[in-house]
Amino acid sequence: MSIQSTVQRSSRVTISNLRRTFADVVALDSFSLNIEPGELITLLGPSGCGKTTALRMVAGLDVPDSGSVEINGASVTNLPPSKRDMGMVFQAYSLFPNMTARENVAFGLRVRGVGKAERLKRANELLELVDLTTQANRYPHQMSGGQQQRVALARALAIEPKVLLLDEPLSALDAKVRTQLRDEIRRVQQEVGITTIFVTHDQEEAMAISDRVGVMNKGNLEQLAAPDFLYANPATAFIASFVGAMNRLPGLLMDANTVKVLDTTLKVANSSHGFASGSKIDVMIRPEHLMMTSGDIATILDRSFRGPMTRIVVVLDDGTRINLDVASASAISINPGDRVGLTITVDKALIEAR
Amino acid sequence: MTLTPKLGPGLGFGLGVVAFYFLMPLVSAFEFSARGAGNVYSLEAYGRIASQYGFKDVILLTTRLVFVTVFLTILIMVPTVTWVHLKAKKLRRLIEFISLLPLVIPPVVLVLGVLATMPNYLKGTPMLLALEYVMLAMPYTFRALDAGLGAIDVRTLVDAARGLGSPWHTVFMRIIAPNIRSAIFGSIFLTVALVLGEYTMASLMLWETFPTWIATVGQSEATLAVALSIFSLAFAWVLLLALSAVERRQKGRK
Ligand SMILES: Nc1ncnc2c1ncn2[C@@H]1O[C@H](COP(=O)(O)OP(=O)(O)OP(=O)(O)O)[C@@H](O)[C@H]1O
Ligand SMILES: [Mg+2]
Repeated sequence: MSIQSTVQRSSRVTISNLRRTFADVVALDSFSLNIEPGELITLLGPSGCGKTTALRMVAGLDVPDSGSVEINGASVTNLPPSKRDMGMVFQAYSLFPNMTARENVAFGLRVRGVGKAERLKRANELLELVDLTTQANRYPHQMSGGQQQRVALARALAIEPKVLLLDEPLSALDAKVRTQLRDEIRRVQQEVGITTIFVTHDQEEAMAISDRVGVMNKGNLEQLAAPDFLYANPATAFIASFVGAMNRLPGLLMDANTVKVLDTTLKVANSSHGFASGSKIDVMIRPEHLMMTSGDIATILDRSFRGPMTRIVVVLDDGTRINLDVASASAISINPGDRVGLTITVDKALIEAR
Repeated sequence: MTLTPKLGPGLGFGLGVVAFYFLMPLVSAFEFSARGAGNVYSLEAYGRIASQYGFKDVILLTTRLVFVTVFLTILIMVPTVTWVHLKAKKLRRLIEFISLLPLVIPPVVLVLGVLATMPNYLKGTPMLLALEYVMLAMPYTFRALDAGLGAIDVRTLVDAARGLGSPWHTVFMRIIAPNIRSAIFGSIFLTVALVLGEYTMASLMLWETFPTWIATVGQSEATLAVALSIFSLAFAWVLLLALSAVERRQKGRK
């Protein structure tokens, strides 16, 4: 059996209006999501927005108050986990401490009554897929965090799941292992061709590995789009500030569709904002969409070197702090205390209440 | 390294005092039990134990009680405490408090309560006594298992096993039990010790268990009574040693 045959055909996942409350906490409000076969979707959102709850519903580890989960058009909403065939990797280390790496990987097959020879052979194949053949006989406490999570990935894939569910699998690891493992997860996912939901609260991680990123807020999905589209066209101010860095500049609403900020007139990106003309609002501008010019509207406060780019912090005369990035080569002559001008290099922006 | 020699004499002395404190009564008791007729030492009193009326029945009943109590305790307490850890963390204090009740409620009240509530087919069987022992052991077993489960990430391990398709009994047998083995053996030890030493309940329920039998038989003759209590101690020791050998075997298998 080759690794590719792990997934006979990739599954389509249709999640509709899931709701789950715990006493007075609304963990999921009305959560809907459609995933194409073979796609890797990332759910991104702040702590407590319902990401884990959503994954547990898909896995069958928790039951929604209302709403449904369908795999390839068939409802699994009321099926127990044993009838769903989902592979899940958890945020906390979840390997069974009393079993070796190989036994952990083989566990799901053992539960399914697969014979010993067959399941050990299969476990070895999967350990090879995640590059851990040498660790097969180790116990979890003898492995590093990164190795444990790779075993957990192999264990999840061993049962030939319909969907792979990853709940912040990298959050307990240090930065370097994180990026390595995240690329490895993407490689394995593509190799196997399995439909995957990846949960994280790290936007860089989400951007790096996903086909599409879903941003969650307070139990709902706010926007679902390809990483570059999401970055360039955030639907709400919440998404804008959650995905990438964002400045809030004081602006004046001229009419429903135009706003004046730093003496520049921009189009308003969110048309249904509901503010009256003449309102004082905040305008969202990314650091890379601001250019420093000669002028006299802001004072340099601070600069910090970040490799090719240098982050400059300036302060407007009304006290608003603004971050902007300039090429490090041209940042040498910039010193705290200097007076500068600012130019906006985009023609539309999101606005939000001051 | 430097600590050991410094602590050495102090520790040795301490241990000596403790050993003396525990061993002295045993040694004296043994000496007394071995006093034969005409000031000659003999183990004759021990030889008479087995031939005392009811010896075989008592050993049989007590062994049966030990096994049934241990079995029921594990069967009831492991899932219960696991459930508390999974679903009712907030109730833990309350349940811990409830588990303490057998320590404060007088045995007579417990016995009467059990007799009043239990179905008739259990009355008149020693199983009823085993059920009471399960209850009596609860303060100790709850704590032992609670500590064991507190040391592992029950929630994640259970989710992982369930997600891979395990039915609940497999989750208990293959995931939970092996990872809280010491706690389970700890509660088994405590339960065994309790059953082998419990007198009040057994006599109130009119069952002749090892402790009540010793009391009855020992009334007639002092040497025999002391020989009996030393024998019961040895009996408990052998059982516990056997258990810990089993535990070590299990550990080795891992
Ligand atoms: N078993 C539970 N009992 C009570 N409240 C819960 C339970 N599980 C989740 N919640 C609550 O539901 C909300 C969503 O929780 P969830 O774990 O889904 O968040 P999350 O997005 O995964 O957060 P994080 O990034 O911190 O893991 C939170 O407010 C949480 O406190
Ligand atoms: Mg979570």
